[in-house]
Amino acid sequence: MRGLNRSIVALLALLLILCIAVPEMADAAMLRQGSSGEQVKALQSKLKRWGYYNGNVDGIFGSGTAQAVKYFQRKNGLAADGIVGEATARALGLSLTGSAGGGSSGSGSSGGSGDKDMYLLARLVHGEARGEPYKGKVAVAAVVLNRVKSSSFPNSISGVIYQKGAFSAVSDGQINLSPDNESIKAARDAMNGWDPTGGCLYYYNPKKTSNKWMLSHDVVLTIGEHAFF
Amino acid sequence: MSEKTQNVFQKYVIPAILAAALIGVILWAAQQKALAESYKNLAKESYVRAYGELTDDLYDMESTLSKLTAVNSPAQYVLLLDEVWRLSGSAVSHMSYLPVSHVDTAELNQFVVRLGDYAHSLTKKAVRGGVITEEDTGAIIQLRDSCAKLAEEYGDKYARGEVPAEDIDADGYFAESKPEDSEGISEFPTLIYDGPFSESSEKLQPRGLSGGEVTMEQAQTVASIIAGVTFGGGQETGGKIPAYQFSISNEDGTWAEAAVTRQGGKLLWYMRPCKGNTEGKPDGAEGKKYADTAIKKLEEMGYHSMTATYAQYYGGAALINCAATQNGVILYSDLIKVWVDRETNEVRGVDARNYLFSHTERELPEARVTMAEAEGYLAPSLKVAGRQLALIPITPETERLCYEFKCTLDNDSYIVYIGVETGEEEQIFRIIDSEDGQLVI
Repeated sequence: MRGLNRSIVALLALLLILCIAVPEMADAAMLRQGSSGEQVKALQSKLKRWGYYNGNVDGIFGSGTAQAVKYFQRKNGLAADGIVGEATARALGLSLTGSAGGGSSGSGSSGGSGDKDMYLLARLVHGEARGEPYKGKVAVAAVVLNRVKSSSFPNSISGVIYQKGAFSAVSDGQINLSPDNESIKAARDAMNGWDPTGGCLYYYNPKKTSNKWMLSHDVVLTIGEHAFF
Repeated sequence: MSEKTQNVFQKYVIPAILAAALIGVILWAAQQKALAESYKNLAKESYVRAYGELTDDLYDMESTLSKLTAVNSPAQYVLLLDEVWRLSGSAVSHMSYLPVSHVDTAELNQFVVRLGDYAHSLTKKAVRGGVITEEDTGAIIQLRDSCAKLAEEYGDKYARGEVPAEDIDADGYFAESKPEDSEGISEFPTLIYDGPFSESSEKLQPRGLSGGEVTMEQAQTVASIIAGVTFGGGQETGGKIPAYQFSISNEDGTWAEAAVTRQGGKLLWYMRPCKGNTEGKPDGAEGKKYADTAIKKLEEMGYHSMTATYAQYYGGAALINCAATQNGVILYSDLIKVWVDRETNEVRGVDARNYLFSHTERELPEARVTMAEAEGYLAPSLKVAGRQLALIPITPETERLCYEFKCTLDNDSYIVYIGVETGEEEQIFRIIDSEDGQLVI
C-alpha cells in the first residue's frame, strides 16, 4: 500500500509541474490575457468585424477579448483556450512572427464583407487539396466560385460548400481544420479572379473515384491528383 | 493499515466502487444515446421542414404564374413577376438544405433558377414599357404547368412522408422528375431571354480570339517571354477557351503558371508569387505607380488603349483592373487583371480571360441625351465628382452606352450610370473603401 501512496504523490507532483511548466514553455509568440499593443488591436478589430467581439479596440487583451477569442476558437474547430497561438493566429489571418512594433504589418488579411466567405473557402481548400500544387488549390476554390455563378447550384459560397455530398472534406470534417497560409492565399487569388480551370464545375480524383457519372465526362484539365470538368 | 481494514477494503469498498462506476457508465451511455437520437431527430425535422417549404414554394409559384396569365394591368403584372422571382430564390435555398446529392438536384435547381431569372427579365422589360408578347404568355403557361406537376408530385410525397431524410436513400430522389435536355422532348420549356442564368448566356462563345491554331511550342514561347521564365512542356486543356497550360516550380519554393490560347496563341493568364507580403491600401502616388506598371506591361503585350480602373491590395500584390477603351469610352467587359508585386514593382500576374472573351470593335450608338442633361437626372442629393463615357454590361448579352457619374452622398461613394439614349438610370454601384482597396457592389 505504501508503494501505491508514494506513486500517487509522485503523480500529483508531476501534474503540478506540468500545470506550471506548460504555459511557461508555450509563451513564444502568442497573445493572451495581459498582452497589449498593435497586434492585440489588429486581433480585436478582426474579431469585432466578424462579430465575435463587442468591446473596444484598445489594444489591451482583457477578459472580454479572451472570451471573444474562445468564441472564435469554438466556432472554428480550434482548442478554446482563449490564447492566440500559431493555429489561432493563422485562422485569424494574423501574423505573430514579426512581434509588435513592426508598423502596420500585423494584419495579414483583407477587409470587407468577403472575409468570412474567404475564410470558409480557405478551409475547404485546405481540407480538399492540402497536398496539391498551388494551382490545384486555386482551382478547387475556383470550382466553388463557378458553382455559385451557375444555375445548377446554390447561389452562395456556404450554400455550395455545405451542399450534401458536394465535397468530401465537409463529410469527413476536414473542413474544420484551420487552413494554412497557402490555402488562404489560394482562396484570395480565386476570389480575385484567377480561375485555372476556365469555368469547370466538378473535379474528382481518378485514383479514388468509381463514380460512373463523374468518369463519364470529358476531362478539361488535370492538376496534381485532380481531374476537372 | 491493519489487516482487518485491508480486508474490508478488498471485500466491500473496491466492488462498491466498481459497481458505481459500471452504473455510471451505463447511465452515461444511455444519456449519450438519447442525445444522439435527439440530434438525429433535429436534423430530420429540419430536412422535412425544408422539403415542405420547397413544396410550398412550388405551389405558390404555380398559382402566381396562373395569376400572371389572367392579369391585365402593368402594375399587377410586375408585382406578380417579382413574386415569382422571390419564390424562385426561396425554393433554391430550401433545396440546398436537403440531404440530396448535388448531382441529383442540379437540373431541378437549374429549372427553378431559370424560372426566376426569366421572371426577372420580364420585370425589367415591363418597367421599361416593353410589351408582353404571345411568346411570353406561352412560356408562362408552360412554366405554370411544369410547376403544377412538380408541386403535385412533391406534395404527394410529402403527404406520404417520403421525404429525403437520413432514412431514405436519397440518391436519385429528384432524378425521376428532372427536366430533359433541350434537345430531348422536354416537359420544361426552353426559355429564350437574356439573363445571367439563361441557356443562351451559358453557351456564349469567346469573341476576342481570331487566327489559326498555334502549336504547343509556339505557345510555350509566348508564355515564357511574357512571364519572364523558361517553361517546359505543357498540357492541352479544354473548356470554353481551349489552351495550353505550362508550369514550373523551383527548389526555392518559387513557381510560375501560365495558359496560352490555342486559337491565336494569346496569353490567357500567368501567375508568379510575390516577393513581399505588404498589406493595406497604399497612398495615391504609390497606387499610381502600380497602375503605370500594369499599363506599361499591357502595352508591351500589344494591348494599347487600356486604362486602369479600380484596384485591390492583398498578399503583397496590387491587383490593377484594366479596361479597354474605344474613342475614350471605357469598355468595362473587356477587362485585364494585372498583379503587381509591391516590393519590386514588377508584374507578377496577368489574366486576360475577360478581355479575350468579349473584346471586339463595338458599334457605339449616338447620344440622344447630353452629359449635362443626364447629370440633371441624378438624384438631387448626389454630389458629382467625376464624369465619363462607359459601355457597361447589363446582362451577359447586352451592353449599354452610359454616362458614368462618380458621386458622393454623405460619406458614401456611388457610381451611377445614365443611358445616353434613354436618359434613364441603368445601373448603380456603391463603392466601399476597405483596407484592401475599393470594393464595388
